[in-house]
Amino acid sequence: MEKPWDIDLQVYDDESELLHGLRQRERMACTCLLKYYAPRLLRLAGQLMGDADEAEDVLQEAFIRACDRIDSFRGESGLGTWLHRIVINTALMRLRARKSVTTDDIEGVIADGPESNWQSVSSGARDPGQQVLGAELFDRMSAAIERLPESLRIAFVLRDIEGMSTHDAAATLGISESALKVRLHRARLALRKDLAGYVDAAPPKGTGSQ
Amino acid sequence: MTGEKSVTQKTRCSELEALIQQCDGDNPDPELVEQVEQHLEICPVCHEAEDQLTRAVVAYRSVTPAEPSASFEEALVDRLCHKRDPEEPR
Ligand SMILES: [Zn+2]
Repeated sequence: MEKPWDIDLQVYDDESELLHGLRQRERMACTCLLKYYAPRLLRLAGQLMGDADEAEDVLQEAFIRACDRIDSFRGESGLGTWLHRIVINTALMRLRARKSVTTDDIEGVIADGPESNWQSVSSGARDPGQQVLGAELFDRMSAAIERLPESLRIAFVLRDIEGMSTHDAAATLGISESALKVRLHRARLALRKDLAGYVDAAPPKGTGSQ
Repeated sequence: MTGEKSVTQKTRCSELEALIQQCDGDNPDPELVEQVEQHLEICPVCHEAEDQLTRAVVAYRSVTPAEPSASFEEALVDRLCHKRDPEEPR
């Protein structure tokens, strides 16, 4: 699917060169940033918001905030990890404004801290075979996640989809680890019920990879 | 632990549901949470159901995300690269 502005993502040899370009607001750097991170972050925003329409607003706001703060990014965590945090933070602020999600020191989430137990999801598998296998599953899972009550959905997305540690997910939401675990177990129980009879058909671990 | 039927038979566990219901959502007793986690490990129904769900989540995570629309991306790139610090002349 060619686009008029299709670009070579390897224009920048490494993250520091990309960061330099971003600090100069180079068009190519901004384009590379989006091409590389936007798809996964858009999905994350949709999962957190439970609403695909709002996801683009969250993504836009998050990228603008990221570029505004790019000078203060020190690279202690990877750029991807930092962007994930900003998207999560932006989504949580919107949800909190919408009604009430328990968050504590929401700006702290943006802090450019060490990577801790955060899994690198930005470089996840992109095996096309597995994508075909997962097409129907993806729709079923997406719908089931969307149906979860908001507090359970967010706990599930942060912990099980984003791969945050229990400690980090609880800290992000400003709740105790026990409370995070309860939300997670409730979410998983609800998904077990919702996906009953279907998850049996999910491919076993490792299927589809080379 | 009876009463479940048809497709839900393999995944529903009334014992787990009762345990989770006992947990206070905002301020749960850590011991009760520990009981939930122990149950998930020793109950064959839950063990299998959790394993299936975990496999489904792994598969779900591996699906390549869709790209945003080209118009969205282009408009956002425009905003990002034209935005300057307030004190910086254009
Ligand atoms: Zn059980």
